[in-house]
Amino acid sequence: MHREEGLRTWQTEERGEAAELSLPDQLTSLMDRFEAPLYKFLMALVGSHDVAQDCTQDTFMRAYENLRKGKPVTAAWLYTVARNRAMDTFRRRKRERPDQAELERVPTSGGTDAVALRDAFAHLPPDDRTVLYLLAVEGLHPGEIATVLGINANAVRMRIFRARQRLKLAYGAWP
Amino acid sequence: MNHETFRHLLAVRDFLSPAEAARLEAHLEECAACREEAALYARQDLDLRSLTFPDPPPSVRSGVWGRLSRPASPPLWSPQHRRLVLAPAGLALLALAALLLGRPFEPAPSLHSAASASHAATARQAPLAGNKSFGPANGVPRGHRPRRPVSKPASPARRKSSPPASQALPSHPSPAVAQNLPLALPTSTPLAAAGVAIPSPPPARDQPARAAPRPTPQRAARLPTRGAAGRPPRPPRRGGFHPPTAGGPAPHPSSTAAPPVPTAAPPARPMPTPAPFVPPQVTPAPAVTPTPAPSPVPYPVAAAPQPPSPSPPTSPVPSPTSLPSPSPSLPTTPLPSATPPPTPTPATPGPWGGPGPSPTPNAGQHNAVR
Repeated sequence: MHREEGLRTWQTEERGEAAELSLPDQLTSLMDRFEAPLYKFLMALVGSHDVAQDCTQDTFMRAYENLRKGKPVTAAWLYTVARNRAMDTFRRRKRERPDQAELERVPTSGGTDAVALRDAFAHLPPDDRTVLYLLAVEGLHPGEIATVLGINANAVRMRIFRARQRLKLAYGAWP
Repeated sequence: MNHETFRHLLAVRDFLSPAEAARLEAHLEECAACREEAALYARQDLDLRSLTFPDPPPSVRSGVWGRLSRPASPPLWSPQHRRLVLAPAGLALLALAALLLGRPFEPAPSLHSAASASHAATARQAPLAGNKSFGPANGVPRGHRPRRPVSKPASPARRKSSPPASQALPSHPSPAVAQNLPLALPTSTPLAAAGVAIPSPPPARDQPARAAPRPTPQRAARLPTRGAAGRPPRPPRRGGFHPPTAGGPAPHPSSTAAPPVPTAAPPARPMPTPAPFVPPQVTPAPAVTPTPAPSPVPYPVAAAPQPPSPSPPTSPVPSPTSLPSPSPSLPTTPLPSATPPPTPTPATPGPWGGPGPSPTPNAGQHNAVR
């Protein structure tokens, strides 16, 4: 998958090139690559523009600190930080479902089914939304998803299987 | 591999190893349910990818640069913040500790008296064979020197008190001595009877044991002057003064120079309890008269003033408790005995505490009198 390859190659090739740049340039290269995916991921997770923006900025601030200290910055690490920030927001707001009103303003490529799918997706638990988005939309490897969630590979397979079953039940449109 | 396992592999079909993928493909050819579920998972992925989410606005990146350009405050765990926060706190703690530790030790009078009593009791229990048992004058173990309280309530009564003339002088320091309290009793009676000026206990003895200054020549020279000023001369503190022996207290060297100012206590008064030792109240009139009377008789004296001689006292000094054995620097024999006291050794501590009696010019004279 192109997107998956793009995310992975950044870790090996583009990051190696970016390492020769200055810190601001490295951060610019990082944001060019991951700003949109992270923001959309956070939108799928929290369903709020403001929260997604703050969490995205916090994630890149942490990434800049890691670059300044010479620590590695990987795709899995970025999604981990972004997800943790989103979970912190959920805990502060005591809510684990995205803002339905904001989700309704999000355009979809499909018709009614797309809206139903969006609603069904929004009612999934945060971890289910995380694994399904990273797996289906971002194309992350289950091993990387395990890193984001902090679980092992076997557990993430079970998590993905159950998330798909729950989405199937929530959507209801699929036979 | 059971059917449920194949269903789990279907959920991550795109990310299987070659071996797992081969086994799953073989199972799908045999299982229609798994083929339908595989198709479901493919449609889910397609629909999820159709969920389009808006692209991030420019404010996201500009906000990142704006936060980076701001002067960031150090986190609480940063060394810089630790220095800013912990340093003043550490200094405050150090100042507080210094304030608490630097405060001089000022025991309450009751506590001091109780402590003195305990020390005196301890001293009494051990025979006064050596300096160990006797130790400092106040009975405090060697090495322990509680600080003198700031206030010096040198009560007039103490200063001018003296034991009754009829009381026999102990051959060893009284418990009062162990408490570094005014030793009016053993010092006054025989000398007062003899018409010899009895030096009143130094005011310093009223306070807790404190390292008395070594009698310097200047100090020794000053001592008689104090007596000449109207007050009884103060005997030297370190080994310069010893309680009277059986032969009677040795006359103070300065007594010959100053007219006798008896400060004896009322006669036939039992020695006060050493713990705490309360010298009997004595009228200080004779002691403060500028012109000492040739024959002041504040107390009834049994005999006429006699030259100091090692005469035994008429009655033993009543003491409520056993008295500690005298140190080698003090007479070790009972009063009736005329054995001269041993010469104090430099290593032995004086009765009034301190490292030891410093050589005094009149030590031998004291001994000789007895």
